[in-house]
Amino acid sequence: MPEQDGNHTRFEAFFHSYKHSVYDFALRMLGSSEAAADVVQEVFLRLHNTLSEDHSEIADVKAWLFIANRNLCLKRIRAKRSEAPLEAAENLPGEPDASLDPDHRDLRKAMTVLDPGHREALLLREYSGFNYQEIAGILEISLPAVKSLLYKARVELRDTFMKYKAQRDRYELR
Amino acid sequence: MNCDNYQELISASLDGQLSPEETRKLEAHLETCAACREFAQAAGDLCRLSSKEKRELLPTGLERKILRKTSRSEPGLLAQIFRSNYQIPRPVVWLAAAALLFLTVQTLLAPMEQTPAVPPEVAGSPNLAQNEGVRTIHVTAADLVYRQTHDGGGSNQ
Repeated sequence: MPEQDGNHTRFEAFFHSYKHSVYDFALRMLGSSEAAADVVQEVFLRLHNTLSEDHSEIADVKAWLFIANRNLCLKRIRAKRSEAPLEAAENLPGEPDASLDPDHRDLRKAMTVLDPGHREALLLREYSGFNYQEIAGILEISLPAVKSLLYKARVELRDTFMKYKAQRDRYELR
Repeated sequence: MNCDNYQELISASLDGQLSPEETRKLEAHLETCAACREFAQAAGDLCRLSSKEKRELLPTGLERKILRKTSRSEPGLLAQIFRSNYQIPRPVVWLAAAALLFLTVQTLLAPMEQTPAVPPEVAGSPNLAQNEGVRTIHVTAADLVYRQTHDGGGSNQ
């Protein structure tokens, strides 16, 4: 009993520390609050079960959570792709919040249409604040590969953002 | 090194990943390459823009749902007694368990003890009245049923 209580207390501490960052990542990866909610729920239930059943310690809970989060997001993206290969449904998250300023709106739109591999690398680095070493651990790639991946992601983001910005400029000129 | 290599350095510089030597090389290249300067400007702007992005918060309803799913289930009455501040002394618990076990075994064995072992010559012969030489008579339920049926519920022996 005391061990179970201790595990539950530990779970709650981890949950409150990482709930927002895990949700933010899932939402930006999937572009749908409904899908993100499912994934986040699954991630934390897995953490809870692991802490309750597995006596081995999780060395880095934040990394553990993001590995589970990322794997579940990619699984959903792949499932959607196989369901509707022509639509790339994961790239249709709906219109970003109209209250955002135009640059942020274009940035959000651009992020959602990036290649999922590029998107996750940028999210881990710029939104979740992981360093190269940690990203290499989460994505199971080498440090030079992280460096190269982030470069390619930034090139794709710049191109996509510029495209949306140009569209907006044309629309405003009309 | 070509522009792709320099732009990879630009990207790494945004994350503070360049060595002093790489920084020096990159700065020298940027002085002469407009395309890389443009990339550095755009990538830097986007990096600053994303750092100002509002982070999405976990909706309260979802938070409650997760906590409800992971919280311990409501303990049963016994669990509540055992979890309560009142502690029953261990010997009392063991004694109660032993008494319960004894009573259970006693109850289960009782019908077997009440049924007497019927001698082979008597068992199978319901007509006990004709066995005058037998002094000890073992009466079974089947015998009583027989007497009641044939003697019209006659008197006891």
